[in-house]
Amino acid sequence: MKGLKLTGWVLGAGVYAALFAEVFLRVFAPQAFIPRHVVAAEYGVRMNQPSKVYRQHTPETVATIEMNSQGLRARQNYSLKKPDGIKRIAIFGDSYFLGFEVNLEDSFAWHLEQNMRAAGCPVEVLNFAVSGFGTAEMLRTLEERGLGFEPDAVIFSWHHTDPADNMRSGLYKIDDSGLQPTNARYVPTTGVQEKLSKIPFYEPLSSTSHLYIALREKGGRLIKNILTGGAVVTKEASKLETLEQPNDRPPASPLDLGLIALAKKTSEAANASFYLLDIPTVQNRTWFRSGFRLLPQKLIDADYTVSPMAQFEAEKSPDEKLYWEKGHRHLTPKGNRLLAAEMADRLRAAQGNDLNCHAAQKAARL
Amino acid sequence: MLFNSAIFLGFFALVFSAYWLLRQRIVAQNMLILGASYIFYGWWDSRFLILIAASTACDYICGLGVAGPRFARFEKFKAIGLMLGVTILVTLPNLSRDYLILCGGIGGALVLAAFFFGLEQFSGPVRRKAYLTLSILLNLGLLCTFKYFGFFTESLVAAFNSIGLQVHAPMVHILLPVGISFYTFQTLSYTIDIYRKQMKPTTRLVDFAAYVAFFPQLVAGPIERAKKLLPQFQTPRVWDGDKIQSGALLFLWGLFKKIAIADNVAPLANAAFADPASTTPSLMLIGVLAFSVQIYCDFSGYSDMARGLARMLGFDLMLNFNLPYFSRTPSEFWRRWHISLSTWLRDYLYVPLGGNRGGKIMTYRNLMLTMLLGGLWHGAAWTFIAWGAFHGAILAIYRMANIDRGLASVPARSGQGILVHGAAWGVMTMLTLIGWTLFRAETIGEAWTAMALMGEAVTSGAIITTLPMLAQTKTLLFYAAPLILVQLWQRFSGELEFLVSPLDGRSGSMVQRFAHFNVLLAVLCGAVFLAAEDVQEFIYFDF
Repeated sequence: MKGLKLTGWVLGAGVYAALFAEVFLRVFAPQAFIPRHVVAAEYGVRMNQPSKVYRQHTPETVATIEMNSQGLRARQNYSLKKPDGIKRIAIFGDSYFLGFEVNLEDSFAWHLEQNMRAAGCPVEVLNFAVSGFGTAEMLRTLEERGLGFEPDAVIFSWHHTDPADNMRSGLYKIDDSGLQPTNARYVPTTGVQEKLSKIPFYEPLSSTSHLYIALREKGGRLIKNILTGGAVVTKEASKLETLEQPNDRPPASPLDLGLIALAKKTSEAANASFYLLDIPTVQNRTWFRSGFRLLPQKLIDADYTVSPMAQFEAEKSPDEKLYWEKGHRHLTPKGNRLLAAEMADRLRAAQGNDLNCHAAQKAARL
Repeated sequence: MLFNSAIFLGFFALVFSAYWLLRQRIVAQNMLILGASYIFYGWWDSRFLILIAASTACDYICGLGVAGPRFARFEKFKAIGLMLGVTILVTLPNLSRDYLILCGGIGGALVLAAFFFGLEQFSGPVRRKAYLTLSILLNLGLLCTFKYFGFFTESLVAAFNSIGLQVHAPMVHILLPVGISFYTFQTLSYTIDIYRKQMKPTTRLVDFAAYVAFFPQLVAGPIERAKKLLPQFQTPRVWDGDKIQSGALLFLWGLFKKIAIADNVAPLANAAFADPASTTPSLMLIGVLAFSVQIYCDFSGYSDMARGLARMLGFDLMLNFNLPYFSRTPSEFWRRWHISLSTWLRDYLYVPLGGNRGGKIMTYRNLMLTMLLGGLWHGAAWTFIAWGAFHGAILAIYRMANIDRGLASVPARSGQGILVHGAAWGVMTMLTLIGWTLFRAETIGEAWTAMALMGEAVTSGAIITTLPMLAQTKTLLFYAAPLILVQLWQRFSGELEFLVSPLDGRSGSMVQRFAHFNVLLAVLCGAVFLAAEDVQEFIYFDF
């Protein structure tokens, strides 16, 4: 009887503590609900769950994420064969390219397409981005899927998380003979997600409970920390950070550089020009750090790398956000617009002819 | 290995379990503490263990030497054995890299052995003094070499260059071993206390080594005197559920202060001090206020965690902070801030210099010297010396003006008392902020710029017009609010150990227990969910 009473007290205290934590979080630290729905693709990496429509909400924005039946972020499907007179730009990246925390009309891909069309370039932008992707997964998606859509230009994003993602995925390794494919498959968490989604109450819990989201984030970060040896910001490091020294993450490894080189080679072999677009990270509203700081100078100076840092610096303001601050720090509509403008400028300047920009303008003039 | 890391929690769980499984076996428990402490310390860089072993070996023998009577030769072999053993153990795994350190360690052990045997040629008071001198020279020598070598050489070179003599500094970069300022002060106090006949030396090397390296307080204090802590290693520790629970709660509150407050306000201070010349007056004021919160929560948080961990192992460490921001005068501040250091400086520096026994001028001189050296103890930089000089000066001025005595004569609870004590508190708070500006700035020039900006914030009225509107103000208030509330409660209830106080008490009413449970949940939620994403190292690890 005594044991039963004690168990009752412990259970009651546990339930009360969970409710307390839920209220605490809602009042003092509301969570961002940024679900991602990915499944394992047959070619061994993740893809967006086809036809899935879901909402992301944070204390500062709400966005609807819609996937077409091909798992691309779009409202319509794309035929494998290019429509006549249309050029295609295929973009490969992570949640920044996918457009997390913004609606479709505010995403990078949308702005890029609109920019190009406004400049008289008849293009379609196909968004192959998947949240959590590193260069290795982008490359696999390009090879197995993207090239089938006959792109004329291929854009890979480069974010400072890519080196860690590339290492973790284990899809490729670098040895004396160069870059080698290793594992055929890397689809983390998709199995778990599938199982979880079958549990009753999981869906409402994961979309409404701040406690669940907070614990999941903490747990994920803890595991990541353990896997990467637990990075700690020392006083010295934080001093250097304030001086904008690129000391926070290790530079890109030969593996990363090999992956970029292979992506370029693969694209060019399929007659598509290749670009590497910098996704800067944000420190505060007026301080951004280029992801290219991890790359060797030779690569930064190459004609296929594009960075929006100048645009970001010109547009920065303490009163306006280029990145969300209370979610997962993705780009705001304005941030996406600036990124797309920079990319569109480069595309027009570098291959306006290839993308029929001038022909279209000429036709319009006629 | 930081207290606020997952790896430490795992480490402590193992040590804690093994430690209490060994209860009633005091030698085994002390050996476990010693081993765990060496692992904990070696986690930063195992080669630093040689220094701690050298300091331990030297002061173990010096303690026996300064006591007076001759002691067994075996003790010397034990001490040298410890130093040699540690040197070999930490250098063997990477001998090709560390062979010079191995040679240095063996050479150092041989030199120490020569000293130990050489000093035995003396007798009586000379022998006692010789051992004391050896202890002081070795400890201060370690400190000067590893902490101040670079600073002194750079300053000397700058001085020569300023008078037109082009001198180049030797390119020697010496790593600062974590916690060296803390454990050298502990071992120094051991030999000095024995010399003063305030305690007897121990002949149990393991106990002494465990006292020197005791991991809860090894790297950032409190600086425990041997006469208080060492006897605790020599008496059985009894499992006491209440004590363990209170230790865990003290640890939790310290953890909360560190990860939920200090680390979250740190970016505000970092941003203001990154380039003071391009910061606005309001942001500088916020930065200084943020730093005052950060340094208090960082350091007192560490002290609370250290005391909590020690308590869970059955030890009592001294109180290191006693609501310092309620101080009304500089002397009160130093009775409340980093108490273990200020009392150390008082007992081993201020009093031997003559204290207040040599007239007013000598008292002011002694205050200045003590605070200058106290400032230098914090770090090898002119800003720390300026900070020490500033505190020395205000201590002397307050003493000159007899302000402490004047305040004591005004009852705090009267109408006049509230005004007078409130004004004194306001002035002291401003002085404290000025002090922190010197402490946080990278150079004296930056400190001046920062102070000028703070002055501008006050005189231009920005403190009223701009400051309340800033997002940074809201951030600071959000994170500092729990601290302010708890400190007010502590001040007026007289309970210094928040969460651990008998507020809950098994004897308390149901309502009190429920209230305590909710406070506990709030702190726990804060520590888990408000913890800053960027884990910052403890500020005092650099000292």
